[in-house]
Amino acid sequence: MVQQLPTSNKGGSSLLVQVQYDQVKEKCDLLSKDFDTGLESVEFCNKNISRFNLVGIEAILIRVICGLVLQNTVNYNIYKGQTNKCQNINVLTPDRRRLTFVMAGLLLSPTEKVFIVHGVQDDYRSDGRSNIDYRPMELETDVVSHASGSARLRLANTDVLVGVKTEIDIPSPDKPNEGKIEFFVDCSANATPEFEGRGGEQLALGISNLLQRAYHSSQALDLKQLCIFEGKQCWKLYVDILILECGGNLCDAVSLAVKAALFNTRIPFVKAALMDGGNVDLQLSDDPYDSKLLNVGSAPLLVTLCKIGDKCVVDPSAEEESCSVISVIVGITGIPNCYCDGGDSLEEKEGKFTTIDMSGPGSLAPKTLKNAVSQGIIAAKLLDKALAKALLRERQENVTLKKHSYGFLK
Amino acid sequence: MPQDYRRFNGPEDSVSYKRFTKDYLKPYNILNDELLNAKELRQDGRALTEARSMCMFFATTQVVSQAKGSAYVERDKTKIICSVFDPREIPHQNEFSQLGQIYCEVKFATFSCPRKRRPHAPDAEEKALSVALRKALEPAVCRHLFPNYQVDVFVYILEHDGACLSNAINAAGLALADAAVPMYDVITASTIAVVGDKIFVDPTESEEYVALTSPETNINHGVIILSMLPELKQISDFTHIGSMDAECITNAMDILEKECIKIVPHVQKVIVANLVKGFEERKKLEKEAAEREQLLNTKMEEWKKLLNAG
Amino acid sequence: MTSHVKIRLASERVNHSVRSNNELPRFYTPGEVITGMQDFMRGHGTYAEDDSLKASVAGVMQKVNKLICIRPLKSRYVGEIGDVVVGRVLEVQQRRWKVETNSRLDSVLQLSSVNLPGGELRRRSVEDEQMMRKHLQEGDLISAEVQSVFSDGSLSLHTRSLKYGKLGQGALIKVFPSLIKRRKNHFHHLPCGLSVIIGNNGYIWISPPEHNNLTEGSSKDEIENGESQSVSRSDRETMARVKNCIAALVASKLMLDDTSIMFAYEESLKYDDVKDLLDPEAMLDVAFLTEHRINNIMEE
Repeated sequence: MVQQLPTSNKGGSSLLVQVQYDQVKEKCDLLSKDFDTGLESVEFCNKNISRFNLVGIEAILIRVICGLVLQNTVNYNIYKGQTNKCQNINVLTPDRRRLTFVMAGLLLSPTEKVFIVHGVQDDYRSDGRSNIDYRPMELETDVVSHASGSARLRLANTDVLVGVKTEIDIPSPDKPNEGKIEFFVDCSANATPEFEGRGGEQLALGISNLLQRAYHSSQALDLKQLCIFEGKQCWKLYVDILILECGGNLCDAVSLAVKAALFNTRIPFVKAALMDGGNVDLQLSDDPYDSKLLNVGSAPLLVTLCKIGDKCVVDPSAEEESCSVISVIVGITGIPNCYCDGGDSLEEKEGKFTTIDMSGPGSLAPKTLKNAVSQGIIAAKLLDKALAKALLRERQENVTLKKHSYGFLK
Repeated sequence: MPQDYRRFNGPEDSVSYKRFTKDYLKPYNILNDELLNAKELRQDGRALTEARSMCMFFATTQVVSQAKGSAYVERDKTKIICSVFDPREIPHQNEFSQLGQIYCEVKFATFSCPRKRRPHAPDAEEKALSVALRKALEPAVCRHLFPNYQVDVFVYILEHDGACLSNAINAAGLALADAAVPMYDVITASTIAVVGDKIFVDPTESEEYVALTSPETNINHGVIILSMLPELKQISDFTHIGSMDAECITNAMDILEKECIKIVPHVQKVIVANLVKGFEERKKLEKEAAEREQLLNTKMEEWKKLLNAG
Repeated sequence: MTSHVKIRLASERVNHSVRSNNELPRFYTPGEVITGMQDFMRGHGTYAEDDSLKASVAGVMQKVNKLICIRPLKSRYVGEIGDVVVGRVLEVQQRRWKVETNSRLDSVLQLSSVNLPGGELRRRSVEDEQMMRKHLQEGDLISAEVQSVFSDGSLSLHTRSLKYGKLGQGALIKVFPSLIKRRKNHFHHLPCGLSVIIGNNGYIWISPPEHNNLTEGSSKDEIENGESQSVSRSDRETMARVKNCIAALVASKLMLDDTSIMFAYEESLKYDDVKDLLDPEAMLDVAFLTEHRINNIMEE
């Protein structure tokens, strides 16, 4: 039983719970008796619907009502048209204006939300995609001439440019035989005016932290390949991510672009490293093409799973994002075999999780989290295969014909 | 980086002397082997699935008298102090926000970590912990009750021996309850560390260190922190670092969920004990006040009598 | 579960332009002299300087008798009286609603220019003012007609007809207002079953067909039920297809009206799966075939 959405004139702070009347009549009465201080209005619309407009003591009431719901398995409806059955209870308040990975600020009418939520429930979204389909993407590598590696990825309205700079550093004493990698995200005000000044700082920090965590394990990216001279010198990769346009699903786009840029990165060969009285003296080749490529097949991809209603979707559009209060971001290692020519026939290794994070002000039930995680691993696998195919194709093109840079011209 | 002139900073490239000790240079596999003894017990004598007992000392006025609510959580060698301050208007903000904000700051004491001295300025890890703490607390607090206001939560880690984020969340939940900030539910959190097929519940620092170090082989490793609203069965934050397969994740989730629920009675006990204490104190005060009033009344009557007599 | 991920390379980028044979119109750039003659009137997108009329935006010229306008492609909506618009309520104010209609300034919907429940024209009482949020709240979408234009260019809307008012379930598509063809009727029931409102302001509303015809007399609960009932799968598919077709036409900068949308819909039927229409090649194909069909009709 789905019902019209809250019509409280208190704005954001009310909460609507509906229970089927005849089954739980006594308990409803009990509710209004016990908590009448907090019950703003009890309104009986018609025989089978009762409405509570509660302010203040939601916590207790929800708990009681959850009890009711669990006993009688009736549908209920808590805030903004999310029709759920039993387990998933979002104790949430609407109208968040905070900047999370999910960009807020888009206003939707309750009926539009109902349409989107039902579509997700039906596994058929408003542009014909199913819940695990991505929108078409466009990728170009080697777009920045002064970087060791670069990539630009466009996913619908999201546009990300990634440049990798290599520099020489001293390895950390804990890990003398490993190089370093550092991520820096820049949300320019070009993307949206909200990023102006310090506006995008939190978002940028969040994404770079997430990437740092996803690349933490050596099973994600083996940093030993960046070692020059154990304990003395190593390569440090500065991965700079520039967000040119922000149209939803930022994390996925960023991780794809980062992996493409790392795939494209060339590190000069070190001809000789001499110890000269405690200092290391490096001799590099003068030929810029005399370089090695990184082995980035297992680099992780991030998949954002946006919880709408009961289900999770990948690659949400801006409208879908504003129907959701919580999303799960999983980082899953890639399949190294796909990234070398003719590697398809080899046995595939199942991806591993390198990071899991939640973003948004809401919370979710353990079962939903498990479902989201298993959905994420499927999506990541296909995403990784598609990326590998595109990157290999581009590399092939570079070999066969003189590469023409398209860049930003359209 | 702006220079910090207010305090004396050691030379930037100073290193801990421990680096030159034998313990520090132990290779990964030896460290790994040392975690468990022959009887499958950990270094501090716990079983794998056994959390450190929670000896909590919870106080309103004793811990931080200036704060509205405060809590102190001690789990063996992990010691955390947390204070919560009254809601105040969000500084430097022009736009009205419907929901109250929670401002979190996690700080390690400079001497808290066994491996290195912490800098005074907040570093990347502290910032990440602050963000994680905020995300964990947000779903628990009834934020719509104080629109355009923010609640400040400050966490100081005095001694770090593993599981510091989860205990920071526990402490912050207690402190929020102590400060009478309206919440949907108590909030509890716990940590596990995974090395291969071994799962360490409530790990110590050395166990966490091994779990986070990337092994040579392709085994599962990592640390997972989960915070929950136990009564509502909702996960408010889930943080995972390391690399593990799907099966391990689901397994870990179940264990963490159980651990979180195990803590609830402790937390509730502390809150109730504190309430009872406050209540008794108030009762005592009221009783004293009544006595004083009675005394005054009798005096007054005496005076009246005197006055009448006079 | 099967998923659909497609990553193309920049070298495979599709050029969406479908008009190659047609002669390009004359484009004016800002500051360019349109005419040196005095006897023309200054319209939108132009300014007068040194006895000559110059363009202030880049676009094509439109001449109505002596009035010269330059119309840019990406302008915001410039309202005219009688236009049908789709807008979103931003704010509930004293006796009026602020409505976002893609024009430069927010439009206004006065409480006195809506049909209140109960029908009949009646005086607006204080109770009505207090009930405003019950009628329309922040975020609600409405269809309306432009009643008048204020001196600063902001629009005053009205919904005093049964066909206007709050919109129920459906999807909104935002396109450039200059791509909307001005027609007598902007409310269409397409042969595929959907209703489409092509707002002059570039907002297009697609809604599923109404199965149970709701009359004026139906109780509030019935309307509420209609608003939260799940749309059937087949309707959803048609809606997604129409939505993607409009996106294809917009990508190729073709004018939108009910015929072009319907043609595009028919051409797109050769793609079985609606999500295939998200691929640029398919979009170009649909747009090209639509353009071709429209040209054929024009020649006839």
